[in-house]
Amino acid sequence: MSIKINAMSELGHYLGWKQKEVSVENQTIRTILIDLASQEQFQEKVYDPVEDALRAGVVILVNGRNILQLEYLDTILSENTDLTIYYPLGGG
Amino acid sequence: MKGYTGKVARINLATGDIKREEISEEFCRNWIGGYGMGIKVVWDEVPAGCDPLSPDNVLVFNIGPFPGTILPTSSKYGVFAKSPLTGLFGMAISSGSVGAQMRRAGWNMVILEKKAPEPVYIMFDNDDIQIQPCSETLWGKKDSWETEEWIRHHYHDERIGVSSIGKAGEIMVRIACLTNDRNRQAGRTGMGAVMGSKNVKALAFRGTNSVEVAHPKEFYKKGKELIKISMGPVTIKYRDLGTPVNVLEFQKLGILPTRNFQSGVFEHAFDVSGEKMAETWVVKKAACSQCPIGCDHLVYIKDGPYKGAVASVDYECSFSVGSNCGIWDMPAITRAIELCDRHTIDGISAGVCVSFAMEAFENNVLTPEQVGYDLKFGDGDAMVRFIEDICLGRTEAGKIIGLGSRGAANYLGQNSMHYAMQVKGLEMPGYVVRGIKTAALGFAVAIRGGCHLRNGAYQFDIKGDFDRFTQDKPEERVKKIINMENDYALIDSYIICKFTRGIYKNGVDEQAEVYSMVTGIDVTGDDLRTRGAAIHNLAKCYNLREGATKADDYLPERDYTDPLPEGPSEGQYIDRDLYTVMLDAYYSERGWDSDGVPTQETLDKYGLSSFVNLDDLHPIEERRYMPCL
Repeated sequence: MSIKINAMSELGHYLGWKQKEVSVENQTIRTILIDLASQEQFQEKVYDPVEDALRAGVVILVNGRNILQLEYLDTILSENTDLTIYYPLGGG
Repeated sequence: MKGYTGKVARINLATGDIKREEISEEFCRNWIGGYGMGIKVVWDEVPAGCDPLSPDNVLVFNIGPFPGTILPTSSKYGVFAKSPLTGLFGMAISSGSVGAQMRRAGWNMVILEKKAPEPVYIMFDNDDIQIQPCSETLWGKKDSWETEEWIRHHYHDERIGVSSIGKAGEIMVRIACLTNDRNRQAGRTGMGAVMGSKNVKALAFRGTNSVEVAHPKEFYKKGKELIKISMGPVTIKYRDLGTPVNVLEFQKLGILPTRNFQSGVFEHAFDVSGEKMAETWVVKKAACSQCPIGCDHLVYIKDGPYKGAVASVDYECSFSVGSNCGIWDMPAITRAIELCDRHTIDGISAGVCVSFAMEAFENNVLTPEQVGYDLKFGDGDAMVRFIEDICLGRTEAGKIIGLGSRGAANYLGQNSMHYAMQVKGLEMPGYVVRGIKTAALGFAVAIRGGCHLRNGAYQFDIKGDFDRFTQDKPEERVKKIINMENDYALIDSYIICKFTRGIYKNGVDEQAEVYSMVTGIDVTGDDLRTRGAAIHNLAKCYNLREGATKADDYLPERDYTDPLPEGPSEGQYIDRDLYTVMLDAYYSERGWDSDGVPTQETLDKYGLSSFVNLDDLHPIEERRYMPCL
């Protein structure tokens, strides 16, 4: 199965991609982030695989819900999941 | 005492009498500036129950201790009065050059009393104050952009800071604002209508005095550090694509107001997004005085029917006259914002009033005879035309909607209050709170009405502190809201831009250090937090005195009854009973009774009892002002 990953606003510019479709099979967000962290810019802005931590200011939503309110990095991704990464997210 | 000038100009417009007064260190320590000083003067000097458009209302312009220094984003000023839109405390804050010029001219505060016998503008040339008649030159003849240009040209000085009204202010449209530096507005709660009611077209400031701070070496070092941080990651959003990036971000959350808040997703969101704007429309970025960020993204329309339209397009206007009116025609959106800025109506209220009118039109509550043409969602040309009708008061519908959505719904009846998207009479900003339920309370209890700037409670929802779809943990949510509300009361009193709130790593404690470095007044973070709470409590007392009730702390009816029909927040609505639980928890945590009235202990705690009488605070509903034709 595949899921869509969206890199919003400035992050999309920085990473050089705004949307990716990746194949997953009952994988957690952590697994996806580790794969994506093979890109240096992703490591720098989004996820530190050594510390297993999101960078400051990063917000991840799964189908519109913040992963802090789900199982955080252990949230399991299912078919048609829409995973959105914000850096930063604020008002205005 | 440094930082502050300590000088107040009290101008009786009826007689032309000008008094130069001093403010004490104690007054500055207690009320800080901006919002704090504004509410204290309005409380003391506006008679209870007065008509906000009568000469009895006062109009206060003020600054805090920081304009003219190197502190980032500190060239701000505030305008305060009883609001003719809400009938409660009115406040609006703007940036640009006016704050710095006012400080250099030597004025901490200007209090306008009564009404001038003929239209005037007031020039503050350092210590010299001139009240100049302008019925032959400006009033009824020039919009705010032209007024600013005329005054600068007349005095041969491009640096003069000018805060002025256009036609909408002159004819007292209830959502009228003040414009300065073309793109900056003291937008909300109808302060432009109060200025118009006093026959004042503009205040202009030219200052050439230096600004002294108490501890220059320490402050210089600190200021440079803060400037550096403010050019870093914490403000990248505002510098890069600007606040219109919210369009797609909020779309992903399902909270982008669409067609008068009927939906939280807009099928043409990309066309009004920051991304599309940057690719296609933005020609220049600009910054206010003393600001290293530069959040103004200027759009210029090069061809087509709106050729020549130019405006600074931010998120709040992208949503209000864009998605919220079902419109993705960027040239029409740009022209609409330009009209709002020139004629001086608040861009948020304008868009939400137009969307209210569109829904009323589609429901046959507002008739084609009253409007004069079809006013339907998605019609950019009709939206532009209707904005102008509101500004100029030139049709029956324009006059009705110019009362604001609450006043218009009250006039039109037929259940239109159900979809008047306002709280306390002030139109809601660009967040569908059905999908962010901490913000639902935060926006509803906001002291000036539907507002995202008195507490940024949406942050707790979208950053994941709470489940944005539930209404659980009321005590935890209200504590977060109240702490932020007190901190924001300080930010609005210093006055600094909220876009730099993130540059202070230690929050209010660090701001206290800066305050002491500039003013020489020793304060701690806890001292300031107490003053933030005191300022908020006094504003609440003012609203109660003017007839506000618990009902004013509830959301628009639609939020309780109309679940979102689609998108990531599909099915979300506000459960009224759970909302009341949270509201009661908020009142309790604030030290207010079940009607939202501060207790005697609370008044004592914040030092308010010496001038606030508890007996005056129990809501007197008949005192509540309602805008009417």
